[in-house]
Amino acid sequence: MTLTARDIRIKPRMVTTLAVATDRTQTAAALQSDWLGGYHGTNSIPVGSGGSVVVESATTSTLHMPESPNPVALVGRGFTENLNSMILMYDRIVHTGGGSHSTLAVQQVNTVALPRYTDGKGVFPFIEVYATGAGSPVYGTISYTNQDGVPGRTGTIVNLVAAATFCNPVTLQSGDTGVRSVETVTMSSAGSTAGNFGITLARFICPISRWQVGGAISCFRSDATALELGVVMMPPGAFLWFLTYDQGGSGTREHFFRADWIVE
Amino acid sequence: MAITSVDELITGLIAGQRHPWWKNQQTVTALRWVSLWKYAGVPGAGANPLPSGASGAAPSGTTAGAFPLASAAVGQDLYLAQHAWSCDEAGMLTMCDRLVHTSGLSGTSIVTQQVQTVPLTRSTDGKGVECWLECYTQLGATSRTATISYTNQDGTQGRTGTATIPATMRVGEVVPVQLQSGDSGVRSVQTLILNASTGTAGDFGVTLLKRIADMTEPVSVNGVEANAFDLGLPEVSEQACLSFLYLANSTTPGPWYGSFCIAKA
Repeated sequence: MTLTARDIRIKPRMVTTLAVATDRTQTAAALQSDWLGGYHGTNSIPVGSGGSVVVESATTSTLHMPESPNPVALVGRGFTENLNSMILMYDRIVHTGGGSHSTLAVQQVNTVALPRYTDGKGVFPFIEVYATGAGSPVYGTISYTNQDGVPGRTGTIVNLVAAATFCNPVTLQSGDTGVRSVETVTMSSAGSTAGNFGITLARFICPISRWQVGGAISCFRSDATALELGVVMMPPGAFLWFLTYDQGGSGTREHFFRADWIVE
Repeated sequence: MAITSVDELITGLIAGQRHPWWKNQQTVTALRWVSLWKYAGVPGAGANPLPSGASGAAPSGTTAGAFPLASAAVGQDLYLAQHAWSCDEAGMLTMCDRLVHTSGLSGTSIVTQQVQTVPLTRSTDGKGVECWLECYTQLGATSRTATISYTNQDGTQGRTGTATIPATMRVGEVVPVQLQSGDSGVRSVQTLILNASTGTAGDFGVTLLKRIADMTEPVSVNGVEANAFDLGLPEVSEQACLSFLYLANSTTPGPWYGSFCIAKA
């Protein structure tokens, strides 16, 4: 796609929105995924290892992208929320489920090949929890293939929250800038029940910022232009996935999100 | 070539290199600068400069811990054209090209320590090249003054800079070196001497860097989205070793999540 400044000003924009809704209660210092709902309807839990590719956003609950066989340009967005939390927007690419919190054995994951961003550069792994494992389990490491195709690399899981809907990021081995696939995951301390977790591979798009308006009970609002977003080109089939980094306190979020697209 | 219009900027952004990144939270001392070089995340942590105790190295985009940049085509240049990031506290993030780094200096030695940095491979005239001291193993509990002998941007040797090493300088913390009056940059550093022992040898070194862009997050977790005009569209060497400094506002800054675009034109 080629775009000019005039195109961005005058071309028709397709606008997609997430309607105002009531979200979940905040949990301090945690990355909370919207896969099981919150910003939108619930999606199904990925089944087993081997990795399933995320279906196109048009058929899954999320902030939908325009349907197009070609990349579409993200040229604007608006966001309003009433609580103080950082929203991070990713393209969710591959995910698995069926991981157990109650074993110290090496668990096979063997994610499928990336359908986009295939070189793995900038693709981050997460441990995503679908069902809580009791008994204070502690995540250990993953074995992965890096952006250069080198297998057997070791990532260290950052333990934030091992409860359903939460995500735990992974720090990569020195020199690595992304992940092509994840082969195994190992707990460092087992819990008493299996629960359910999986590996999610996602590429970061942008943080979603807000500007505080008024006092504590006011909404936070922000807009971003095409140049501030860097005229992000989203590939066909991209799935917009939101993580919330909460800042503590209590209450439920009310929000509105709007994305402006140019499709050719 | 230069970007001369918004249309060229947009074309450069669409064809540009996007680099998502994140760095994990660390415990530091509030109101001190920290280098994210050694912090875990994506890219993975950088290593201590080697060889330790010697002249150091001139890192590039292929050095572990840096962002590998794709080469520009013949006749093209690279520009930082967009950067969005967020952190869980208010603070200031500086993107820089890490030009030279050394390690192996002692926090207990009170004799002149040889540094003799390797030559700059980028920004070779030294103009605008800043000198910082970076900690790799925690130093002692007593604040001390470091005096640095360096060669300035005009090639004049024997210039004198000073830096205050804070009490209990932690891993990752950095302090700027104040240059001698009239100087605007550093080509190389020859020696360093402390006025007294900090109490613990630790490990620290000299880092020479070129500042690329500064961005401030005025309110915690509100995030920053900077476009090419906000950033000043700075040119970036395709060999650059891009890394970050952060002025922490609390003892537990981070995690940081960001993504920047390097445009080609």
